[in-house]
Amino acid sequence: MRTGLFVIWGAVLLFAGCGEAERAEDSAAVPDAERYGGTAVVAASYEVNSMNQFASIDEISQELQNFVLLTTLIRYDEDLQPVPYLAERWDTATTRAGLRLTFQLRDDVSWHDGVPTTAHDVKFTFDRIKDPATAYPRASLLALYDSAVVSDSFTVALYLTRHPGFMDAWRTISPMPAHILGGVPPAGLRHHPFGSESPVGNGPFRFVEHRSGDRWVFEANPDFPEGLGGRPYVDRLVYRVIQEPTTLLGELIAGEVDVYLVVAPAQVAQIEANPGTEVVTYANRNYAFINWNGRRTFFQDPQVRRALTLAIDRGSIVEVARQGLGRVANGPVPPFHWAYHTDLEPLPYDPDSARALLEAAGWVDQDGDGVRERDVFKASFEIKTNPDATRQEILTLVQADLAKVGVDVRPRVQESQSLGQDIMSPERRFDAFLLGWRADFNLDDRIIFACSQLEGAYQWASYCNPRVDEILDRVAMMEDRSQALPLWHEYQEILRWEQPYTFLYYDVRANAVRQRIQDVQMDIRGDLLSVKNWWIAPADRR
Amino acid sequence: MTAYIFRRLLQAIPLVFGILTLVFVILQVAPGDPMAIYMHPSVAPEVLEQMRENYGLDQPVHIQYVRWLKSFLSGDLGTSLTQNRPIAAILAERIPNTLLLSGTSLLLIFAIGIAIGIVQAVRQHSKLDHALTLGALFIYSMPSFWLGLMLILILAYRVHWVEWWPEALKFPPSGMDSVNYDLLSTWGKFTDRLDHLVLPSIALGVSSAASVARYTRSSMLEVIRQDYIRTARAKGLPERTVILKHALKNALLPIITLLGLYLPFLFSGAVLVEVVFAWPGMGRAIYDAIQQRDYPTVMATTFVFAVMVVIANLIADILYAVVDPRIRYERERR
Repeated sequence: MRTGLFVIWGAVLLFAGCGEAERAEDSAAVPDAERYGGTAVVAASYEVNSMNQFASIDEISQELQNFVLLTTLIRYDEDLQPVPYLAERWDTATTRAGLRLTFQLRDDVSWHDGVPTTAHDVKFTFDRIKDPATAYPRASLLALYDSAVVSDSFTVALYLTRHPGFMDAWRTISPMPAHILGGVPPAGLRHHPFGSESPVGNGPFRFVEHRSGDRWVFEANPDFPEGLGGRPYVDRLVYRVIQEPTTLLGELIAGEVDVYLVVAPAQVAQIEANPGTEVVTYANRNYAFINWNGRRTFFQDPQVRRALTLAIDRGSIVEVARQGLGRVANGPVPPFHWAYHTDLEPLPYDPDSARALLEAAGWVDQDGDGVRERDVFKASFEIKTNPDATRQEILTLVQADLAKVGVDVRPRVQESQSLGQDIMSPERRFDAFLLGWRADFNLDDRIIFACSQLEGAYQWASYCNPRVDEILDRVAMMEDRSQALPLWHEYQEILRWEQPYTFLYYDVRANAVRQRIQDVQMDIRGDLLSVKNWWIAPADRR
Repeated sequence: MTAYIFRRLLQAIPLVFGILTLVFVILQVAPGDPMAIYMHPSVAPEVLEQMRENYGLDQPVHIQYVRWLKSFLSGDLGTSLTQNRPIAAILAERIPNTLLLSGTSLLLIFAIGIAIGIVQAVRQHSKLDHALTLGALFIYSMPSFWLGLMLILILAYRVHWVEWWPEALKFPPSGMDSVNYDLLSTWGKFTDRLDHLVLPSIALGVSSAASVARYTRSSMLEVIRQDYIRTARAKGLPERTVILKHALKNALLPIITLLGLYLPFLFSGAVLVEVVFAWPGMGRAIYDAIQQRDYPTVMATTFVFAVMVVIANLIADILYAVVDPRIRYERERR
């Protein structure tokens, strides 16, 4: 009986295996008409929160919303400049109170139930985001926006205070269908079945099915306007959740998964060595840092913080823990940002200078136990992080590096939600912690570094420098980049000198792609950026 | 018997409530914040406060408990804080998946365990017996999640580089079915599902199978030495009939009680195995919910697990009575 079953399994597998011959065909060899068809499977270790814009903040939800199911008003081109998408054009006019931004929407985009997408959907979405009862996570995107007025079915005017990067919000907010969600009270929007049971979009793919904890299935929308690229090439797009990285790698190698998002650094070499799979890397918006709690004596002196950064070999961290997937960071403005200070070198790895700085600050090892003291205080503290293999490895490296300069680190891995609670608590229950951020295109660091935020939820470094405040306040309202640039540079120079955080590295994202998926483009704008252009040669389809 | 079952079920009600209240208290006492997943400088603290209010998390613990109890008793399991959908809908998707996995494992545990146990008892002290004992102990001491990872690493990953390895012995590492499952024929769907069940059900069941083998062996050895077996042999019955018909029936009695012990073990084992194999079952639901402090989902999944365990124990007791006519649960009428 068992042998019999194996034979059947074998037959099924062999049959399924027929299409698996990888044949990275020359794109030009397959005419456009033959590119339609097939199923592309994207997988990652994290669950999609919701298809509901009002409820989600996680990266994969936003990617699926903005590139698959829904449409944003604008998109960014390769130079991160706004280009038309759902809005075919826009213009601005100065008003007495600030600015009027008028969007002219395309008239050929419909919701997947056939109802046209109109300016009323934009206004509905705007109004709900502005309503505090909705508790829209990223309400700060529209903080300087005031109101929305519909002038005709496809024209909507938005009134706002002038500020740089005011278009950025419309790259990430997709209008939601007013005819479905209009009657839902704002506080109930979050739980509406729209989010995970019956999402209706207006994007290149339609929702087919969601199996909780397993997969989301989308199909090509044949009515997607030609002007926006028309029907996507693949028939079906499946997103699968596979939490265990080893399992995910197994699925990729077996050919069941075509695109594996956010590959664990240790797996990159295996994927590159495997025929038929390749790794796509790009510098993304994340950076990793160690936050020093400025309320603790040891971290109050900028000299000490600088010494800590000098003592940590960040180049080795990138090489060892990240397998080269990163670049040593020199501040909170990542290289993708137009204001990134290209001439500013990150602090070097220099343990001797670190020792000298610590001594100058009065931290000396008096009792010969290898750990420095000053008065009754010992240079000994805990660094917390969440259970992430890479971060745990980094903590070990940091511990070893700091021990060499007489600073005792106790690494502590703490489960994410309780770590979050400790970090966010008004008492700041931590000495230091290691985490990462995704920087916004429209950078505003006041919430993490401004003196006015010292008691705020995110000012974890308890860092205060009036000059930094002045700079951040000014650049937040300065539209002329050439005027703002020197200020941005000064900001980065000050932070490099004072080190409220030790900025570890700017992240390089690694995604694995099977070669049968053609025309995959991934960059800082998103992993699924080009999903509607992905195609599979007829012979390579499942 | 009906009265007995009814009485047992009634007794289970306070037990399940005790479990739920305890879990509620532990969850509230444990550190962690369900809103921590939204922690990012772009999410204003006021928004987090509003979210807490929308979910009722700003209320004192006892009010939250009463509210939860009220909606629970009225049949409403609430809404998941992380998936933002009714928990009842999530459970409806997940429960059958877990039952399928644990059911298959259970079958595997008893089929393989009993077969090996019999062979060992019949060939006591042979080289085969010693080898199987060693193997059983080896497997018994392996944690299921580790075994799962090893199975994936070998049978779903490394084998893709081994040219001579038969296709039939390469298994899918995760999920319940292939991506093109919907497009398969009924037979295709069946084999596809079976194919996906192989590794997780082995990972989940194999250590219990090893212990069933040990129990069966000792139980068989005891029975084989009894007089009636000698009589059966003396009558000239073939050895096969003696072992499988006369001995096995009595040897299985203690094994049946193991069923009640293994079911809860299977459900808890499913938590880790489902995570490793990306099996969309209850185990993963409870794992994710605990990780993300999704309180209402933890409560609902705990409830389902508690009920499953109570029912499993009841089934074991009933089976015991069915197999052994000497056992009566009704009070004897004189």
